Amino acid sequence: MSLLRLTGVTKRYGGVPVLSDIDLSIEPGEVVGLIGENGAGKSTLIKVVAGAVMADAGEVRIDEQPVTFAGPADAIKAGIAVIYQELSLCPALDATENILLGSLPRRGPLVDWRTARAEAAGWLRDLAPGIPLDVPTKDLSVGPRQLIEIARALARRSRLIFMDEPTASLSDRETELLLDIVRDLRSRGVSVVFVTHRLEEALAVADRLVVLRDGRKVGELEATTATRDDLIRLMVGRTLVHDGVPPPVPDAAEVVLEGRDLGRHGRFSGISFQVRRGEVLGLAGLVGAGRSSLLRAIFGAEPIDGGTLLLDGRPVRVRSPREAINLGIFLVPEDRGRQGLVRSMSVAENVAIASWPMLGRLGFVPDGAVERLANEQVRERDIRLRTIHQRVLSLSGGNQQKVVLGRWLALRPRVLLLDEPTRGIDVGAKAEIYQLIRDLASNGVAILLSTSELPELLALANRSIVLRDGVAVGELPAGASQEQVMHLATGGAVAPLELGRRG
Amino acid sequence: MNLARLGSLRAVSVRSLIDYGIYIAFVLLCLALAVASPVFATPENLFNVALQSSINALLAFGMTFVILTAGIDLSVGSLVAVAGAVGGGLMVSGVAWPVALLAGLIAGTLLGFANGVAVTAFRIPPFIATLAMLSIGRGLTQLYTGGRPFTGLDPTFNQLGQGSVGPIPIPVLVMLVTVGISWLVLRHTVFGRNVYAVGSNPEAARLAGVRVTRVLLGVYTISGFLSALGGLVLTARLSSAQPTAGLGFELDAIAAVVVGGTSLAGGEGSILRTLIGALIIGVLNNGLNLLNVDPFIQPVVKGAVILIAVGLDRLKTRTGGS
Repeated sequence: MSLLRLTGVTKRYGGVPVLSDIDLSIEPGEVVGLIGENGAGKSTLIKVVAGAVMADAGEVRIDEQPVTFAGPADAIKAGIAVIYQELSLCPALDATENILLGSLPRRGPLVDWRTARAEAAGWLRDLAPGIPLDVPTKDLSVGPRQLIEIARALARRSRLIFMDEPTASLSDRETELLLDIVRDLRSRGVSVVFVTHRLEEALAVADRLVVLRDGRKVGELEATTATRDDLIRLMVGRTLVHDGVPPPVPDAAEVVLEGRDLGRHGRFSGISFQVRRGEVLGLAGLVGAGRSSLLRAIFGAEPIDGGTLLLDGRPVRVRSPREAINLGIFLVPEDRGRQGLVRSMSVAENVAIASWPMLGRLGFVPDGAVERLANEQVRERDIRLRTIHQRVLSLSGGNQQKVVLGRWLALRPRVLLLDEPTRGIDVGAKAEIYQLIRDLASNGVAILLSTSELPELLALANRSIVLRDGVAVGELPAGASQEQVMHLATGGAVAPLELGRRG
Repeated sequence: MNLARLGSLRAVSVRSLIDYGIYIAFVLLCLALAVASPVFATPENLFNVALQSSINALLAFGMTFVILTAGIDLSVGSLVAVAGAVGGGLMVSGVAWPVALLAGLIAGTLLGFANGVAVTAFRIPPFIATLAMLSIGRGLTQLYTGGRPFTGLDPTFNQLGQGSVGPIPIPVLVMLVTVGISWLVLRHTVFGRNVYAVGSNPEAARLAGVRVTRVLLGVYTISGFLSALGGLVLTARLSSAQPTAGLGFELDAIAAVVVGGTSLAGGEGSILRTLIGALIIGVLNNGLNLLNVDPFIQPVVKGAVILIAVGLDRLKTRTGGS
């Protein structure tokens, strides 16, 4: 009898299928590795089982009985626990209270602390006896915090624990301990679904591996016989749609931006690169590999604590985005809605916001100048809208991104930092943005492009550096294959940076 | 498995030093004043400081509950006036003092509950909801009193503000009993722990089955009740209910909480810290007077102390942070 059985589970967001017809069963005491590229549907699948989102179609059965979860509380009651990447502890509370959150034992009106501590200690003992019970969890590093979440899952008598990339921010040693704990849970009859990008881990700990791609289950393998290469082939799968290849950069082109041994504590270290005039340098790597942080640090939005940044061969210190902008270095951030656009303002204002100091006269910004600037960008970027005075959020994703790009292009960029420039954008607009990036490069802009979409990387980048755990693990020329990139990004024997450490 | 020790203990020891900074600062402040002024350390003066701090402390205790949930209560000063007016008005019209006292407490508690309803049922940000109540409470008081104070209150009632048990003034006793009960509630009841959980991570608390709405209703109601208690003690001290009583009290109450080191972001802090915060403000007022500091400079000094206290707190957050 299966503990959990999914049949035909389907979920769409705004008409776009993110899960299509998923069948999956989990047996008691089984460890299943769930793998797939970014956007393959792993997180959505977890959310469906956790009661956080409702499937549009399909059936969820527990102990072969069909169930409908109205919310996370129902899933918890059914014995399903999820340990999300964003840990859901109360940071100011200690381990005891976090483990027993919502079910503190009491004696009369008062909390029975003695029983509470004994209970919490009991759940933690087998996992990690060293964790102090009375220290606020924010003073612990990620590893112990994760164990506290696992203890909470056990305290709720969970029979099935989903772990969403639990090792993403753990050091190698902590990862080993976590894998031991997963094995220990299995021996106690608890089932674990383990989501990871790191194929070695999945192969090491799981009994069975399920591969998702584009919202479909594309493979189910026994861990004893599966190989890394099998998994990568299934994950990448499709024959690649190469949207053309990047035009070559003349060897004589001078270096515009150079990083030497750049580092930021806990995020990335020892990163060196050169971008030449007209070149697109790709940044590949998994989510959390340090790509966004690197771009933000170059832009002055995060501090750099080591290394040198050179612009046109001269060392520069960029301490704030304003300084970067003055140098002609611009960032198109990862999260368009929250970081790229001022949501409450109009299209015109969003285009002009970075140009205000240039347009202003004695601190006043003439409306006419703003409108001229906005109209020019709307025309050149082919932004489709009713009027430049409409709210920027009323545009489609692709047109919003063109607004962000237009803001910088009005200022004649020397270096453009692009962080996931086509995320959440439909195919048509994507092609236009690809063309725009190529045009900018051929006009001599140096571009750093960070993207999780491998086809995009291969279509645009003249060269790519691959980051893993904040360290550059390799450089690939144009024409590299997706498999090569994935090998490096998920790969093996590289000294890891210890991430997520506190204190 | 030493997983837990990794990177945690060193940070803890540095933190605890800063954590107790507020208590150390309080002791140092008192020692300095004792040296600077011969009057400061006399028992009469110390009881005087405690007496003068007591009403602000009561409001600050309620404020602590609210701020622990990452909220704010700007209406406490107006609720002081409401409770005093209701209690005073009833006494003047011949109602027995215990009944009048109870009515005043109930009035403040109900308006505090109304704050909670505005914040939870209508999802009005606490700043706005309680700002509105600040205005409503003051207006209701003016309407009820016709803008005139109620005087000639029951002398037994006035003992609440003016009497003492042995050497200890009754308002100080009220303050000490309240801090004890509040500490017990926050530290040792499920409700109290839920206050911290909600302030620390409301989503995690909700997913863990904590009834967040009830917790929020609770803290605003408690703040209303303690404001009313403060208002009645004040009325008794002055032997009259003033329609302008409590004007601006919310600022001193917030200052006491913040100086004590309770985080405006919620989830962190304690009632004992608030007591120390209120006493620091009281000692400062008293000390500046004893030292004959220009009264116009005193608010500047008070403001500077608030900035320093919160600045130190931010420093602590950074040490504990990344």
